[in-house]
Amino acid sequence: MLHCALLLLSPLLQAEAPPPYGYAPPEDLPETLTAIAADGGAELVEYGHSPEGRPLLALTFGRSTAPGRPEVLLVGNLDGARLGATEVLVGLCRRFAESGSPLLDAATVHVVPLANPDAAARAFRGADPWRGGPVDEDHDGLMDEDGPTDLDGDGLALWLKVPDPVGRWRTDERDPRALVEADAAAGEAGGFRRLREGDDRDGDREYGEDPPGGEDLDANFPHRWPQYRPEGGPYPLSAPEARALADFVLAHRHLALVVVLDDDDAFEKVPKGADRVDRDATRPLQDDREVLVVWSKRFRDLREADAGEGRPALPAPRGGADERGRFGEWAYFQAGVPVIESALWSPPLDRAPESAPELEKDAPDELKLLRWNDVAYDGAGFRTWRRLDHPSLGPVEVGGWLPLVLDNPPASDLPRLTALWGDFLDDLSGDFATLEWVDVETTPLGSGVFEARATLVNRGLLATTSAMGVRSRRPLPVRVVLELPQGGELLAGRRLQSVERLEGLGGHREFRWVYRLPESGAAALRATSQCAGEAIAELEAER
Amino acid sequence: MNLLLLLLSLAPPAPAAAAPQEAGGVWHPRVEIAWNRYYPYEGLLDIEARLAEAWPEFVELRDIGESWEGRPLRLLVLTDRRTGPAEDKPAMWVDGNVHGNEVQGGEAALYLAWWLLEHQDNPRAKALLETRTFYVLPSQNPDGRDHWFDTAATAHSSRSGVRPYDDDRDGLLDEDPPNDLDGDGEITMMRKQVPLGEGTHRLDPDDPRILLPADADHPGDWILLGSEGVDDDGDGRINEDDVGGYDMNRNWPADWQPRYLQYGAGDYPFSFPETAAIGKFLIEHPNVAAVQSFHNAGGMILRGPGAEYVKYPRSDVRVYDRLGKEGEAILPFYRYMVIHADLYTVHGGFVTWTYEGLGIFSFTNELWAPQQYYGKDREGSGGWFARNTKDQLQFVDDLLLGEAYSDWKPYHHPLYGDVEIGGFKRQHGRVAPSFMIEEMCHRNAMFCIRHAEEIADVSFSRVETEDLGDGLWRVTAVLRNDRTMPSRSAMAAEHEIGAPDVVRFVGDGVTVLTGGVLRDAFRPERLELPVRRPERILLRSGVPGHGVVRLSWIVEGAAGAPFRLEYEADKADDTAFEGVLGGTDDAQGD
Ligand SMILES: [Zn+2]
Repeated sequence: MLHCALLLLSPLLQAEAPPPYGYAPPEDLPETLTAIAADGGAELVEYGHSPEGRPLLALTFGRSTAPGRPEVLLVGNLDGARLGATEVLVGLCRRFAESGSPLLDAATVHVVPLANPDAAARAFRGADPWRGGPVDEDHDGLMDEDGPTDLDGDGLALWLKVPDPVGRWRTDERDPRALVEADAAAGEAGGFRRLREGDDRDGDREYGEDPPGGEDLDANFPHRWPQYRPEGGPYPLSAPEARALADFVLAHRHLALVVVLDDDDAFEKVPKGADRVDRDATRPLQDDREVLVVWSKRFRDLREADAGEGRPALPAPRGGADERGRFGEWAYFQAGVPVIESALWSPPLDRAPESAPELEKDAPDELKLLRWNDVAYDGAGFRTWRRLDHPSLGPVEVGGWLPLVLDNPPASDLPRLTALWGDFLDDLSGDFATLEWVDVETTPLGSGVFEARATLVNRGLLATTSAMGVRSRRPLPVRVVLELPQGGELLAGRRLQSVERLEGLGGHREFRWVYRLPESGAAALRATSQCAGEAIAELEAER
Repeated sequence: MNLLLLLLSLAPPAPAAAAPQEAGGVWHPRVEIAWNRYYPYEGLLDIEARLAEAWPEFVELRDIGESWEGRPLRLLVLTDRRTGPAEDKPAMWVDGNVHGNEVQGGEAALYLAWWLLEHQDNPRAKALLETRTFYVLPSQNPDGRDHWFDTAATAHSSRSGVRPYDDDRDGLLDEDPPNDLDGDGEITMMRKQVPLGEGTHRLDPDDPRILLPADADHPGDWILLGSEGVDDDGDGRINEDDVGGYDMNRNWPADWQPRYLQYGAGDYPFSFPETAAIGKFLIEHPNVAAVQSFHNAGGMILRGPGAEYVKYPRSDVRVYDRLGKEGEAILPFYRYMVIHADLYTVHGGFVTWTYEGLGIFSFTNELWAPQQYYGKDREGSGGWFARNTKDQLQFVDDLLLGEAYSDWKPYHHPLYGDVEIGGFKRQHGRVAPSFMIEEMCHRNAMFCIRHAEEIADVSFSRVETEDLGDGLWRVTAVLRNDRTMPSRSAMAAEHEIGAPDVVRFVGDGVTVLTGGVLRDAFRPERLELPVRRPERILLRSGVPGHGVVRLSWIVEGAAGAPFRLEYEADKADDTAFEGVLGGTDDAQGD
């Protein structure tokens, strides 16, 4: 509360403090979501527990029993340190509860603001956001015996700058804080090693290489699972949080879209499409990519429109999406649901104090980040190097980026980010696949025999099933049934048919039947689907 | 220089048991079991209970989980507990019947336990239970097993468990299984006579039970209509959504791939209660050093890889080859094969996971080879299942007096009209006939025993201390493994699976200055210095099969100062050596 008040009073007068300033403690989340659910008619679902006993929570908005009603899942912060994603998703929940959304008229929306509460709780305190049981990262038969440690008593385990004639890091002359990698090809010499703050408790001359925990929730999913990497866990979905999230997705058979706000990004720049997929696929199928491209453009337009009147545009998130075993990839390549993966925010590289001299374009990012830090936080996001007498390394320096600073937006950006995503989600309401019967024609052939022709069309932007869904065979096909009255007889055609996929924006399929009707009663067509609604057409019978 | 001899501790004496049959005289086993029949799951549990009751010091039963329908996964833990608890010994895991219809693995697994117990007068059997543990799970899939016994089935059906699955993707579960139309308790085949020239087959003039393909000279007047059944759900297809519809032997985490790439895979690894329970047990028991999983049929001793995604290290392949070749001698008509190269591609298989994921030397045996019907190769009798119908019928007629075959009988089918229903029953083709079960069990048990005997057995075979003057000593130790398997598979070493072997130097009045693995027996300075402290040396590759590892330390201490060398490994017995600097010949090891 205090944080929020300060923020409102003085957002532009002076630089704010870096995250977690202005962020809600993750421990408050259950209470917050409970209150939103109570106020806004949402349903709070506890879909599992973390190993440390924290509830895994989803808020469901707009539940309805309408047949074929699509569902959308918004998931945030699998990493743990991506507290900004959690904040934005909680903000969206508030927005849904307080003012609704066209999206809720079209779809049921599930929001999981925090997929990794154990790690988030640590991240908020400035500790490494580890989760899960012990892992022997350095393969010495000992578990978690050499994690980063606070040596200078500031409560944080940051970085060590260690003089070393063969070290490959150097101090950049333009900013004494900047420790950058020496480019040997450009004739630069190093002079320092860069180590995690720690005291090498296992005596192997590595620092902080076997910290507590070590499994990465977002490397623990079965698509491209990193089988022999410690962060992958002993088997896919070994992490209870990952298993619970996967089960949540598999249990919701009407999912038409999953949005992931975490540390990977495949939305700012949509990856190239592929014609086919295999076990190691990383690119979406071409047909599925087209929708992502439309949405990505729409999102960037909204972001641009949000800028102006003296406020710069929100920075675009950077970072690829090449980590193995990710949730987002699994949801697309195995569950077969279209996925938007966004990293939400990255520190901008083009902000600098007015007094700062120009930097060459190819200057190291570290310099640009330090300048942004000076503008955004008055330099407070970086702990300036200070001398430390290290127990085994001798005189070194300790300092570096504070946790959370590079991965989370300033608290003052959170309302704008929330509004941006809220507007984007509002606009999705017209995009879902929608079935409709057109060109329905019944021709009497005599003696109570009729021929019916009808075309089933999809009016939405999304296909009835993603191309990957068709390939994975997990989503069920659209079912078309010719319903004949008692005493009717099918003479040609199939009573029951499956349509794997109708493409977006007019994808269609024509059907024909010949049947005999009894004295009274009429035939009807019924098309049912998982997330494209239902379409019924009466077949006129004029003898 | 003093040579210290290592004295092995003596195990307590074995219990008195009746003389086994092989020793001559009349044999009275403690537990009488009929090995000429297959048992429903209740029967397997009963055998486990009787063994546990008769051999309390050797058998412990542990429920490690439950099947989908709530049957216990009851593990028989077999070891001589008087020489140490089960978990302290390197172990072999033996299971069967992950495919519900492949029932004989259950009997084969329990036969191994029974035979070892009843032969405790045999020094090799006795030594095995003193130094090793067997974890025996007769059925990975008791629901599928009982479904095969209890309902109309074929030799091939009930491979899955019974958790409902929507095979035909119509939103309904298990709604169109095969139907026992003629009510004989079996699912056999349907055939129909059609006008001459419209058929694909004709009757064999020598034996009208047999259909021969029609050809230009012999027009057909019969057609085949598949397995006995009707279109229960009215979707225009027959028998397309049977009970279950998955394959638990595609649900393990190594190279697991989803259903569109691997039939039957399940939602994700360990998505079934059975595989989850077994996986948890194996992950929590790093002492398991050998795995045998029983399937049917075809007569095979299989090892991975199941797919081309991984290469097996050469030194491990040598271990596999040696055991596999020995198996071919023990098991006539069985061939030692590589799953993906010689059979077919399997993603997410069990023995591929236990080796590739856990570093355990693992085999799948496909019990029962069609050549065994006549004890020799006959033309066309090869393949995984018997294919030569004539030969098979002759066997059924001559040796089973026609049992295991259901003669063709007329039936009026709702869609096809007048048809005939008949063919081989489920007891034929994949499981050994009753009179041959015991031999099948015994030979496979002996293969398991050979596998278990070759689990690494590591000891300090030689320890020397050399006085370097001024209170400095060189301590040199030789760790020797007398078995075929290394204490850590090369696969485990390469991919850092489990913990590396560790050798510790412990001595209160002794300071270790340096130490490491000695790479040259004749040049004491060729020490590979460890990254970490020399009091705790990691052996990443363990101790090789039929090989040694030499270690050497330079230490500081007074003559006569005691020290202790400790060796620890996931998959070999821990061992230690106690001596003194400049020690005498009677220094004790344990
Ligand atoms: Zn099998």
